[in-house]
Amino acid sequence: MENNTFEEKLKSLENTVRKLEENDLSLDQSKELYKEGIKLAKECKILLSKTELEITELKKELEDIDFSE
Amino acid sequence: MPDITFTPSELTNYIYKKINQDKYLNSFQLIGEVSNLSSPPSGHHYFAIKDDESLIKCVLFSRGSGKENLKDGNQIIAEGKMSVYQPRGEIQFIAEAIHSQGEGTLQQRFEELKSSLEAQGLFDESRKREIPKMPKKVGIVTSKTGSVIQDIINVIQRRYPNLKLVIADTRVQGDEAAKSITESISSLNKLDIDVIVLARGGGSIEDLWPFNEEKVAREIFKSKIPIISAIGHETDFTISDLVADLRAPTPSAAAEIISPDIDYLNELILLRTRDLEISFNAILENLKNRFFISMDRIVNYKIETSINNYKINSLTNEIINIFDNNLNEIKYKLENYEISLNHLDVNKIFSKGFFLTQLKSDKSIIKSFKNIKKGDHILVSNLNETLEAETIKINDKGSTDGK
Repeated sequence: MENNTFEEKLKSLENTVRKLEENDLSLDQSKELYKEGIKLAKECKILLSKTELEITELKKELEDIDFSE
Repeated sequence: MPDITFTPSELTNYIYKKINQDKYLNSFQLIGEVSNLSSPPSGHHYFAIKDDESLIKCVLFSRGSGKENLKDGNQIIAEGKMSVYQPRGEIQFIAEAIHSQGEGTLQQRFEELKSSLEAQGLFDESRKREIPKMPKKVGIVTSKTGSVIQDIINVIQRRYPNLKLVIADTRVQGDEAAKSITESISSLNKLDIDVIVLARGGGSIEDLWPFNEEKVAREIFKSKIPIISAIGHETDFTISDLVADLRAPTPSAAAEIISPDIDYLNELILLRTRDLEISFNAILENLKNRFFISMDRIVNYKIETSINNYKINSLTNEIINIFDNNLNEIKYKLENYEISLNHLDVNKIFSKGFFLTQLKSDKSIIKSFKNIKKGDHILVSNLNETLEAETIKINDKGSTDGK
């Protein structure tokens, strides 16, 4: 699944930190993880700064559901 | 003459004030039989409640509840307050809710339902689900026109705008409310929602009553999505609060519960970034240490090699020593030989009177007389002289007669 929401990105960031805390990493591996982590942290920051509260009504939401199944 | 004089309006005003100031007359239950019911198109209901001796005029305005219990001759319990109908100077009971007498009072019904549902396990702590700390999508069950939804939106806007709200516009007061609330909960359960908030502003026990209805309680219990109940003020407790996974003291408090503080999240990202730095630096440090340890080992290896050289040297010395010893031995042996040879010194033998005898024909040294025949010429030598002799006679006993 694509990590698009802030929550998922934060979770990915935390996973990356956890992996980086493990031993037995090569210099290349840890460099990649570090770069990945910094990238995720930046994206998290951007997501937090840009968001606007999204409000919909239940009726609209229910219309979007496919009940055919 | 009395000291005070009233006009009719002054008197009705005075009575109205007196009633308002009374500690019982502003909220009480009136029990009796319904009579003279009149229900004009305005939606208000005019009637009287009477017993064997007295009769009190009553009104139930259209926003009140329990009008289905109004029927001439019915025994009812009406909740409400006293007032004065000023145009006629009549005292009048303003009813807010009508219950048929069989139902008992609201408080009694609350207690009965509470103990019944409690016995059925609807309030069990063990079934309470955890409220997600960082929900993505939140369903709000409340009226979309009230101030409650605005309070909730304001709090979320300030703290955590990274959220999707689905507002289920719901009647939260009156006869239709319980049905509307259960429908909203059930519909929200069809959506991919992380948590549902049941919200309603403060009000009387009657206003909040829909949240004490059994069908609402059962719907909350049935919901697959965790539910936060935020009904009325902090002091108000409803059955919904007891069944819900979490009770928030107010709707604004519920909004805070579902929205983590954005400042905290920024701090969290910073902390994780620092964790990254620390871990990465630790790895680099570790690699650097390993590198230096290797360097040290290389240097040490050189030293070890020197030690080996030393060992080899000493080994060589040892080997040389052994070799030397052997040489000495050889030398020693040689000396011994020399001594032996000295013992065999020919001069010494000759000086003792021994001579070397050889056959003249082939110069062979004569070690035995077996092959010597009569007439053989023999050379007899010492170191300096040789004489030639002829064999004259060979004795069997080995004696030779020379000439």
